[in-house]
Amino acid sequence: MNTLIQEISWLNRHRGALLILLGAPILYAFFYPLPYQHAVVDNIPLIVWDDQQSATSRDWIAQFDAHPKLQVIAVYPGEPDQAVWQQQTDAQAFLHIPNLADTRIAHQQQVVMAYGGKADNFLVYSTAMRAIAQTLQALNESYSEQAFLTLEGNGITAAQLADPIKLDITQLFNDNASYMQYLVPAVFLVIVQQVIMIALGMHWGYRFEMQRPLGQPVMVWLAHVSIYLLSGLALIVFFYRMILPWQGVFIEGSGLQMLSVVTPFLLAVIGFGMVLSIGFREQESAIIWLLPLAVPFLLMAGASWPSFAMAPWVQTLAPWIPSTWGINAMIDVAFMHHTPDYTVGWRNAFIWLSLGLLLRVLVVGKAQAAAPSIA
Amino acid sequence: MSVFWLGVQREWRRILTQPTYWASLFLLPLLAFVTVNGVISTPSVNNVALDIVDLDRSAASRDLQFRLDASSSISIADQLPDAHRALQRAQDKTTFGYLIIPADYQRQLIAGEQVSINVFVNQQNFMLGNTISSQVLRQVIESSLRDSASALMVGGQMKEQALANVLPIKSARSVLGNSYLNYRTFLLATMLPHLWHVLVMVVTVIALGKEFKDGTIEQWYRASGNHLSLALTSKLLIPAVVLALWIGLIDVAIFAENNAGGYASLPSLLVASWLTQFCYHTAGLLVVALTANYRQALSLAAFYTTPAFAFIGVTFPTFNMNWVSQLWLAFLPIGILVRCQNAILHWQQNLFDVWPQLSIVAVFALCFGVLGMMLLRSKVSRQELWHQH
Repeated sequence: MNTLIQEISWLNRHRGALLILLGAPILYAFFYPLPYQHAVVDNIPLIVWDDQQSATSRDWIAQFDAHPKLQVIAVYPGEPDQAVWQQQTDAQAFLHIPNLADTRIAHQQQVVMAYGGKADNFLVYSTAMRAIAQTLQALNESYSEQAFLTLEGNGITAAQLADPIKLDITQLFNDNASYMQYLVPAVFLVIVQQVIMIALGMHWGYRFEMQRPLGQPVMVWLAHVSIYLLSGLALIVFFYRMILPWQGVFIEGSGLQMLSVVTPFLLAVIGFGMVLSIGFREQESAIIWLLPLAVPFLLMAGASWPSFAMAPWVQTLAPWIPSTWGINAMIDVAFMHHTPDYTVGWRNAFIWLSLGLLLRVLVVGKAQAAAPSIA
Repeated sequence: MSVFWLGVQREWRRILTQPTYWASLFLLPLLAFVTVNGVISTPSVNNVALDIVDLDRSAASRDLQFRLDASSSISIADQLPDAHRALQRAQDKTTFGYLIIPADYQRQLIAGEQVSINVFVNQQNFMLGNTISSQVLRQVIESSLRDSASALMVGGQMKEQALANVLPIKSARSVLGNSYLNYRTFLLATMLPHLWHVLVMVVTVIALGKEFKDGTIEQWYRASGNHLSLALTSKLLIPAVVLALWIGLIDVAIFAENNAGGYASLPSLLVASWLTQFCYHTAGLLVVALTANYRQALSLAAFYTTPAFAFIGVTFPTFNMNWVSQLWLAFLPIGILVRCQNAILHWQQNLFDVWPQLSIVAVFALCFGVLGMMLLRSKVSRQELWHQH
């Protein structure tokens, strides 16, 4: 108990670690979701070159503009012009309506409409191309219906023949296709992992830096596990029960289900942090070493880039990083009504915590032998 | 030996004697770059697993399955008798969606009735959900068109006439920039410079902030004959050269991945990158000068650089961001570098074309640098700021 109180009082005295542990997550909780608050990509700027300039082409342009994902920002006569395209830096996609398109269609001849977009942002490109293809499909269907109406003389049959196979797409687990729900919960868990490991590393490095007693390693280990487990729980409740619902992302799993994931995840993080920080002899080392690894850890979790498309060595390594299991398990219970494989989470927790304890016992033993007064 | 080279030698000794310092120059960039490279190891994501629940088991349903499986993007994982099992497999991420072909699919098509196909995609995994939706949509539209055209041909129309009736507007899609739709080059070209810029600022803070912590800041300053610009140049020369080599390597790798050597200007990209690097060195100088505290400067540098990736329009488009995000983006030189890189790499622009944007980076560097030097000069002798733990 004395060790626990001593370790807590260290945190209270050293505001740097406390700032990392509590201040940084609070700041990031409000700051990080800002760019994703719109949640979906829409109103993608589109330029149209209308070489036909008729009532029909204006009607087509209105239909493209009416698509929620597209916004016609300029209409020019004639053929696509590279100089104009380069001047319109906001434009992400273009469309060309060829001359005499409606005359050719009236003569039962196909016309070719060229379209395209900047592929330097994949999300924007794929959304724009899909929206243009959907609008073209709707235009084609209306012409096709007319052809069948002439043939069949019945509007209902004509509509069915014009579109014989109807596709209904249901988006599972993220009904609104929210980019916020897709990315931010995963990022929040990586933030929790990194701040716990940084604070733990600072906590550990301080002893050597200030030449303070290293204490009884098992007791200090227990105190650190208790302190950072509780801090982690508080952070996850804050992120998942307050910030995410406030941003319009609602968690479906119960508190108990969340706890069953969070506990092994946090224990694994603490153990992993103890192992990584074992060589730190200064408080700042923790920030420097762990800062550039946040993005690789997020990527390795497979939330944004699929695991099966990673190099084999990454696929082997990734499951041992606590955030990989933590993110996937949390998504399981929070959004997918699924029970994760707890054995992997507890295996990670057991191995990392044991390794952390073992290394600390060895380091403290060595320090005791070298300078008994410090240890 | 001149004061300048003595300063360089002194810094080299500091690098060698501080494991965290040399690690952040040599080991950490290597670790981060190799890992990101290993994660995004393929140009595109193919063979996304999709289950089929075929309730019709007819020639027409098999034809649809065959066409879906033939696409490189999708791989039919299994044929299941009911949707319940398919949902379970989607939940445990064995697959990323399932398609239900209804009973009477073939009969309804022959009878000229409209038939509905349902596809369920795991949209929590955004990329894979979109891949499945797009591919299935494409295949179903094509199948639908074939059936419509067949109906018209049965009614006596010629093939060309029938096609012109069901598909009067054909489309020709073109890709502008990143014309091979290479996801790997798109992500690596933005993620690696992002990681690098975090390290540029962290290394600058280590170089300067540690002097405050060690209480040697005044000694370092005096050793240069009280010439701050000389002291800073000699201090940052080695870290700057190492980090410049890193970004040079990244730029060359990006060019090689894009096969851009024939049409894009590598020197322009290198100049843009090195100017951005200079800007982040001055930003590092400013945060150290502002805080005069090693740890606080590191925290501030982390806050400025780490979340930048979310704001620069790579993960989510800037035109859909709110004004606060757009305002923050305006203060991120890395966002300008990424835009210039796009222009050079994909739009065949050169240094002259991107100079208006780079001049903003130069202005940032000037402001950060001048302010940082003024503040630092006023704080080097304040002993109460030394040895802060």
